[in-house]
Amino acid sequence: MFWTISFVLGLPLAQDLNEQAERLYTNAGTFMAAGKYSEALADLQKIVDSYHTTNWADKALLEIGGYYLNVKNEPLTALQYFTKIQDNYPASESAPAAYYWKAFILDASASGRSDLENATADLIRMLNLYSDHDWEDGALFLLSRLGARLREYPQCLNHAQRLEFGFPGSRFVPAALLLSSRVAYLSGRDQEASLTLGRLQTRYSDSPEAETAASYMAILNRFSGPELSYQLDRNFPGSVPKKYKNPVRVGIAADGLVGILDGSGVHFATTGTPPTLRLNDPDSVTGFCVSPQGELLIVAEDRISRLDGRPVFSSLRVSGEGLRDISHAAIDHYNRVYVLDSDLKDVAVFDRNGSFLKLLQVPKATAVRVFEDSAWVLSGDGASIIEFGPQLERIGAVSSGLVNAEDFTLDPYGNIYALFDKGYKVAVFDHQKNVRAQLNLKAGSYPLKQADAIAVDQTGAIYLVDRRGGSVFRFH
Amino acid sequence: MTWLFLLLFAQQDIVTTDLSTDTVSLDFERAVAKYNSIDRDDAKPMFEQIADSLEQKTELSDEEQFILRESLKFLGVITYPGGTAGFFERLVKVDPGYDMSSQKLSPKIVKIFDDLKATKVGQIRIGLSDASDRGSALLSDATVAVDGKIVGLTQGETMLYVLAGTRHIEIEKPNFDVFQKDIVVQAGKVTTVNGVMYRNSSELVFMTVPTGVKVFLEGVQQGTTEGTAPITYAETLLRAGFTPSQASDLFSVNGVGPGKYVLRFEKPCYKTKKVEVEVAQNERRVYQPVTMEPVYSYVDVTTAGNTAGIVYLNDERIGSLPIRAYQACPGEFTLKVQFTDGQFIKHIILEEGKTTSVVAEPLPSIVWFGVREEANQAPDPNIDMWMKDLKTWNVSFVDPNNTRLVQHDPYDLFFNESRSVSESAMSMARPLGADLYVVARVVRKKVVIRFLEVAFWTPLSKKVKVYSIDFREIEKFKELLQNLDMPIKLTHSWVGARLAKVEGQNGCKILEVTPGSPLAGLAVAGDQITSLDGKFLNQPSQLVQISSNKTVNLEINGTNVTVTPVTCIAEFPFNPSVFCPQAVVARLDKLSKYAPDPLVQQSAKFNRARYQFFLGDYQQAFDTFSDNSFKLSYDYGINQGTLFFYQGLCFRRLNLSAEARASFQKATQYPEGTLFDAYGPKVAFWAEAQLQQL
Repeated sequence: MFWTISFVLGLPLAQDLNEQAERLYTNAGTFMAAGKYSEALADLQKIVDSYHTTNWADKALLEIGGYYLNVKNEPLTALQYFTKIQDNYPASESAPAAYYWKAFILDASASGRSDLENATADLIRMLNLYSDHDWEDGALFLLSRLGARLREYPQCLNHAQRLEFGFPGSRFVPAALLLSSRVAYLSGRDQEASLTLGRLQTRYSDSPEAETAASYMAILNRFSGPELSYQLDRNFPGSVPKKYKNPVRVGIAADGLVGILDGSGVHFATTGTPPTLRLNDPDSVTGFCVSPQGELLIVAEDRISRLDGRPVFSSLRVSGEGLRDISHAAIDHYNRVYVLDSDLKDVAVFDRNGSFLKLLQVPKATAVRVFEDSAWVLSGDGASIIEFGPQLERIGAVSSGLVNAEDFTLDPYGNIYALFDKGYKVAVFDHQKNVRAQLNLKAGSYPLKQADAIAVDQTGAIYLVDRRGGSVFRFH
Repeated sequence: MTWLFLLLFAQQDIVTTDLSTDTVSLDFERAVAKYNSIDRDDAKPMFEQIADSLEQKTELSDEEQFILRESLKFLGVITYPGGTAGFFERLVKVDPGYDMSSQKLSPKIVKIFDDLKATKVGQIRIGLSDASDRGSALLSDATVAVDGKIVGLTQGETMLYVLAGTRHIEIEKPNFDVFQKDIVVQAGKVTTVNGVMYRNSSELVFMTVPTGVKVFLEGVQQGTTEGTAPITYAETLLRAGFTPSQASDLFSVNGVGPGKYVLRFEKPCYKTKKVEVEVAQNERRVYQPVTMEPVYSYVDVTTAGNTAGIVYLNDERIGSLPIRAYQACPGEFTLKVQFTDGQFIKHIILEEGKTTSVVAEPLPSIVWFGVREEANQAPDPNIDMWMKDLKTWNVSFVDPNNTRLVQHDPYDLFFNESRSVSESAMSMARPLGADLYVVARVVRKKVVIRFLEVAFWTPLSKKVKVYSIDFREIEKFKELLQNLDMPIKLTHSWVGARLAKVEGQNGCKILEVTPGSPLAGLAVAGDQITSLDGKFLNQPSQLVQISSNKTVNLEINGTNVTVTPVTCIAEFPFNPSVFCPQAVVARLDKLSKYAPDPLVQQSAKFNRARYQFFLGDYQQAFDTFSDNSFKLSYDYGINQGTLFFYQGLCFRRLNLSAEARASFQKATQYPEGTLFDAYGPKVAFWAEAQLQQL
């Protein structure tokens, strides 16, 4: 009867609608695979508009969201589609994926703690609402990372443990173990931090994270002993006298790429092929900083850019005035950029879009660095390194024994390395700000007496810039 | 057999409904039935047709000869008196030696036959001897043919009936030239045929003790000895310590030329014997009895615990468990042990004089209900074959429509939405008694794409696992099934140290040496292991590859240290996309009861409970983790602390926070207890994290 009425009125049956939507969906998949995105999007959008009651509407929204996230790199647009799935198709197969991707975007684009908390709440809701789906391991990993970013370390460890426990074969586990190790260390569980890295190397030896674990182990190994010791790395190519012309800065990427700035420009110390450098104005380069993903970036007087010249931050303005004398920059996990400008004589903070947020009120600051979501600023008098929390508020400082500090840096475990006493000495503080070592370059048997800048790599090896000697030395 | 039946059937008072499929036999049966009825005369044309058709054939089988003779006899009886002689004359031509007097017939009819026979048939007396030994007994077992038709065998002096007239006699015997002679046979008289036969090859004659021995000459089988020894050899056998009934009849190897030969004698359960013989030209040599020496092998069959089971060797029941030193012939056998909850089947080779020990573990069983297909959409026939190929399971194919055996529709039970079965599934499973139930159906998930949905369920869990596989990737299902046979690794080897690779350092650093472990006292945290059995140790994972009970040499801080790893319990990863968890639970259950190694039994029980936990069967899992008789009293690795940790997790899932807290607190008391395996995370640290969540 119903069929007859539908037929007479020209109304398609629900089954017909489903089949039509399925055909559109299949076509869209073919277009996507062939790179014909506009045709694919048209089909998917038609499903969303005209077949919203079918089983294919949620899948179409998920595909569109995926396109904007992964192909167009427009996470905020993608977010709208994932939110539609959450709102309109909460019982669909795509709902857990929508929750996951929404939290993923929030995590990647968070501008503050509330975004991270929202992402966390969303994921917890997802785990409570849905079971037996493919997104649980990813959700647990995200929750673990969010816990670390929110400094809720027990939550971070708990979710990482749930991931390792319930999904030992998940691709997320090695990264979760790296995270757990850092969080255990930051929680004062040094031995557990080492054991976690050992477990990562033992159980996931083929993963890329196992190599990173060996680097991190070098840091933990050094800090596990009663005394920290460093030996000159004679194989490091930068240690040849007069190799560089008055080097002033050194920057190190997560993958070990070392950038050196001297009077003639930027150089790379690498055993492999150096990356291609494309700079608009090579003379304006003042140093380096590292992106939250570990990429080495070039700091110039008026911008921060990638090695290939693509700008990351440019046209930074404070009170309408563009910054034109940037000497230091750093980018935290919220993608906020901290800029030390000689004209401003302070550290200016900008959000991920380059909008000015505030000045940190550290007059005549001489260096700025970040560790995760906190900023560290060397005071103008060189007597303290001030720590700023995620809300850009002062939360502490390292000052013990620091006199005339010139430069400082932090390693992946939050340990602090300060060049002080006008560059004659190096102090090493652990993440709890305890002095763990002091190197007197003038008094020791080091190849340099005085350094001008300092950096540290993923293994905790220290790089000292010897401007007069024209060298960069590595101590490991 | 049919021939014997017909012989009996031919007696007039036997009526049977058992019919031969052969046409002549059927016709003959019908004719005899008619003959035995009140319409006897109607049988005449039937017998005539049979007789006419058979007489036209050039060669007749024994059965056909019998039918022809009897048909002619019946025709003679039916046509009495006028036609009798005519049919009997044909009968005499077919079989000159036919004896009518033994038949239950009228004496008048018998007399007609005998009188006719006296005018048509004479006898020949045959007496042939070996030309090379004329003094010996007359030759027996020679085949006699008259005018090309075999009429019998000689037995010493032999009398044979032959149609009167000039006849060509041919007598054949292996190892002799053919004897031929033309003779004139007179009706009612005896004609003597005497002569000699000339050997043309040698004959080797054996008896074997026992009988039934295969005889090979130069590797070529000549036959098998049979029967019992002739009484003439009784004395010889008695002297050798045997009775004639223990030995075979004489067995001849014929057509042997002069030379040296190897004879081989084989019989199961006896040692193979080889005899070298030298043969002269044209001789008959009778050898001493070949005595075979019996050989035995033995089999022990046991199982873990005091479980009852019936043991079969090649389907012969040999007793109940345990079986000790059961004597059997050497060779290949299928050993089967039927337990109350499963079967164990193993192919074994029993070696001469040796005892083979088998520890029987019952294989888990699968009931496969097959694929319910859509109309006009036949399922892939390979699926049945893949099921059949499972080696570590006993697979039964059960018709889901057999309502006497299957009381609930398994498709309804296992393809419901909740993926959790009701009591109905249990009642369905009870009469079938299997460990795993598998059912499949074909569904359309897209317009043109078929999917195979396969549901797995074990009575040890309330959860059903459904796999949905695109028919275009049906090989994935084959892989899933093959994984049901994969070994389940439940233990691992451990030296007692946790290592890490530190960049910039050679070898691996020892992070921790566990007290009481093999390396305790031999190394301390901070030491550097640079080589393992002479190979550079570059990754901590290399130390995981070592095997138990085999010493390893470690170079620690430049010093060689020899250490014997211990075996520890390991968790079997829960990975439903690779290993169907319901199947793993079923296998673990069997291993927990029957694995020969008590450590494997413990690990299987622990892992079964883990799997139940991951499946959401928290109560069942909790029962095992909290079982007072189940203790993992080990100082390190997976131990009692691990059980408390899992117990706490079960309590959490059952929303019993206070109890969970108590369990996690107990777990923190086991500083060396771990998860996963002895290399795994410390259970105490993880329990602390859980406590912070409560």
